[in-house]
Amino acid sequence: MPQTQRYRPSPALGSELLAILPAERISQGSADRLIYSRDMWPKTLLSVRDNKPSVCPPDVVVWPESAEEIAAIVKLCRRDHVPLVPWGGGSGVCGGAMATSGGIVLDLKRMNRLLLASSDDGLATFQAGVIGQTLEDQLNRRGLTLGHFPASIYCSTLGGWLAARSAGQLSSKYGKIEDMVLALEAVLGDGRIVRCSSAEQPDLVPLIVGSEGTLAIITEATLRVHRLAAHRVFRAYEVPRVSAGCEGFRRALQRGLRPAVMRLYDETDSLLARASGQGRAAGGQRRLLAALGEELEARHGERIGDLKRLLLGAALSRAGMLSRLAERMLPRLSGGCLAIVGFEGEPSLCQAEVELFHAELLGVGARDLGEGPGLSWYQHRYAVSYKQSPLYAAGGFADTMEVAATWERLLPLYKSVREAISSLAMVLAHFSHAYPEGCSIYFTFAAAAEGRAKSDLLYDEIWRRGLQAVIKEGGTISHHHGVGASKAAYMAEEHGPALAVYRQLKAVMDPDGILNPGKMGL
Amino acid sequence: MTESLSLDGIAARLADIVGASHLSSAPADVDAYGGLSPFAVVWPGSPSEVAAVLKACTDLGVAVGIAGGGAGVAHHWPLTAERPRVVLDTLRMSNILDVDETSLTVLAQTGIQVRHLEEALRRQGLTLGPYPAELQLATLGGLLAAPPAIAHSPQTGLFHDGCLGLSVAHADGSSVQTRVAPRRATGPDLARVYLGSRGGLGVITTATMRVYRVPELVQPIAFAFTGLEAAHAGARELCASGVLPARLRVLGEEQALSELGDAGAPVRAACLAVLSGPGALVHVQHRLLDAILGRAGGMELPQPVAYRWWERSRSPGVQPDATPPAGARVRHSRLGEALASVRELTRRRPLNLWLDELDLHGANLWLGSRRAGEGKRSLAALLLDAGLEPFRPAFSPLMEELRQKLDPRGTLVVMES
Repeated sequence: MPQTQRYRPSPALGSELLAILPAERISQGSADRLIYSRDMWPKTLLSVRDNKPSVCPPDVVVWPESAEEIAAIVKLCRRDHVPLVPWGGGSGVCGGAMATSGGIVLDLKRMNRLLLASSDDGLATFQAGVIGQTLEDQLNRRGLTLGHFPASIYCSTLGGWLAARSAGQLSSKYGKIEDMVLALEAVLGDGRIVRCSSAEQPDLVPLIVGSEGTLAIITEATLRVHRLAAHRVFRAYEVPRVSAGCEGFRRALQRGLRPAVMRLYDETDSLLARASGQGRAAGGQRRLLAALGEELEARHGERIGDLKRLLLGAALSRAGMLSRLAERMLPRLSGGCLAIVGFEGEPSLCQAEVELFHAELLGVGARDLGEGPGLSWYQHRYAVSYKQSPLYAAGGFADTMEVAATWERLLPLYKSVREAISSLAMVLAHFSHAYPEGCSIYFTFAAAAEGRAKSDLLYDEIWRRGLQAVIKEGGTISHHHGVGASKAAYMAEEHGPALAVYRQLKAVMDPDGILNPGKMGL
Repeated sequence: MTESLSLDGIAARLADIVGASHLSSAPADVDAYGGLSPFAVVWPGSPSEVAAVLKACTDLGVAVGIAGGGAGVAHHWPLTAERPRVVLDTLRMSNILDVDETSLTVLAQTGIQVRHLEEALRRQGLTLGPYPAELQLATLGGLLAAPPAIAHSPQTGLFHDGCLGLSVAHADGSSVQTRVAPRRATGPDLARVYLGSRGGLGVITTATMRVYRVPELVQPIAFAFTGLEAAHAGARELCASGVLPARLRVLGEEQALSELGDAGAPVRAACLAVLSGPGALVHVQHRLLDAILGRAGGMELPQPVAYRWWERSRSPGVQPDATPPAGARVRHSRLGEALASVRELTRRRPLNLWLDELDLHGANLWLGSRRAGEGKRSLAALLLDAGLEPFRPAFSPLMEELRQKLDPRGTLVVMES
């Protein structure tokens, strides 16, 4: 794990915090420090498997209830150079919420109130610690929706979404979270509470959004909200190749169509979906697990759990070979690529868009599969990421790499990343979060190595090769997971000389460098 | 350390960078930029020349105002110290560097006039988007550095939101280029630091813009209403319904007369919309629009009225108002109250009133006058009296701090208009 120089807590820290917060909202207990010692970065599971579950424990965990309390904590930390790490749901997958230098973890989940909702003005203001599904439920009760549905919606917060530029599954219609935010309140690293609005020029909102807690702690946000959709419709297609599916998606978007859902699974992912039967609706990692091991369990029951793990581990340790084999077999086995599209909104508009989209996909050789696969996906759209442990227990690991590029660069990037990592890992991908000018690719990879040290090396090497390929092809190394600790080393290549401007921003907004140190290459 | 040179010495140093023929101290040239009173104007031909000019000016203690084709320095913010001033005009930087027809993006130098960029794109069946014709005379750099409030379409959003990446030269001569991607999650959106920064943080030298295919069908539609409130209610409902017109305006009586001319019937207020896109979609949107505006009490005007308005509004030469209008952003829920206040204040002073840049949240309320001597400032004062906040460029304290980091010697002059 990337650990920067660890802060040594002053014995007085706890008592000084007591001047700001009541005792029940401060913890230095070992259980809390363990729980907050890692987020959902898959690499930390290698530590857990190695019986080292306390990856980066903070010295203190606090639960503030207002921007003023946070400002007071920031001022205290500034005086003593205490690292301060904002925490939402802890669902990030890049190590962005880990206290890699120790210090204080600031959990915002008690700041979860809806402050304003206006149907007339299409906006709502929430405190940043609200859990995603709670936010959506509160809007739904008023006939409104944010239109933001990340797979982590049950365990991620508004502040986390904003900090890491989250994307939801309906992003093609509603945009990413940065497209939805109209105004923010945040606490800077010098303790100032600032309010900014996207109506101002220059617009500060896009500087705080995506800063992953390194420039400011987001405490409140005003968001664009919509009326709940009156109608929703899904269609699924089988397209002959990834390139044909991308072409169909691109043409439709560039004609001005705005589906809510657009997902195209590559040949490998589609093949595994068919093999696992149930997997069409689930995420790539679940499908990978299903294809590699769960059939055994279904046939022989729980008694062969150990055998299943052995087989899974053996298969993953030869992931590169499997991957190459799959590449050669695909032309004979593949039934093409699965594409799912969904529309929502006013019924007659939906219908018109569905028909236009249908024509575009038939134009690239697609076969209509009806609404079944789309409905199935919708029903299981959050059933991802919770079932990694069998794979890890079998000695393997898995992770996801979500990148993006313009359409012109997209397929070369897809090919380059696959070539770069397929000798080391099983790799599959789907294309989602599509825009008129480009698209995101969500790679899922799985591999195994013997022992912790070799696993760490292999994991890092897969990421290194994959991200180098992305940079070489002119893509961006993250579309919606953020940078955190895991991609910090690649920020210089991603941004070049512009990284110096980020550092100047950091010097202005967090002059003592106390906010989430060691993240984002800052 | 700041070097000390005479004005001739400074001019010679800058001429070494851009070439003697691309620098002038002739009164006929510098007078065009009267607001800043520069002693010279330089016309760099490339981003590297821009960076070199900025570095030389910083070294020599010279203030630099940015202009695009002679426009842009009429008003500026106070300089931090009295010092020689030059204008850097991006006139020569007007090349289109790449059109990506697959991704629908264009990379261009920012000195290009929007009209020329649009003409070039149209030849390839592309367009920058359905923005007001008034923008055609601005440069690309001008629209990005100081986005006017009118640069908006309900269908495509703000013009500068279409900027996917840019290159910037800083006062110290360093340059940055942001990576072009449809979306990213690799930190703050750095491009947005410079958009709207009015030349105060750096000079935007190239930009990658989103472009669109020329729409298959364009359908202008005009509805008459008995009052502005009803027309606004219809337009608001349209924004919430998911019908996203390329243009959408709500006009008061005087403005309706000015823009529509003889509509064949008295028009107390009007809602004008332009639908564009695939024919099948436009037809469905038209039916929905008819229903929504009809429910709000609107009556569709004859098609020739709508087409005549659309044709006239597409010409950049059309200036319907004698003086520049003053505007303020108002949320939908406050618009009724705002309209009542403005009406009360203008009872004895007939002014043109209209709503534009409508979206899910609100609209810009504009006041214009065709009377001689009715200045923009008096219109803005009227908006203030009505409890509204007229558009006024201002750096937040945080942005000002960043400006001091990027340009500690205050070389770059923040332009106002």
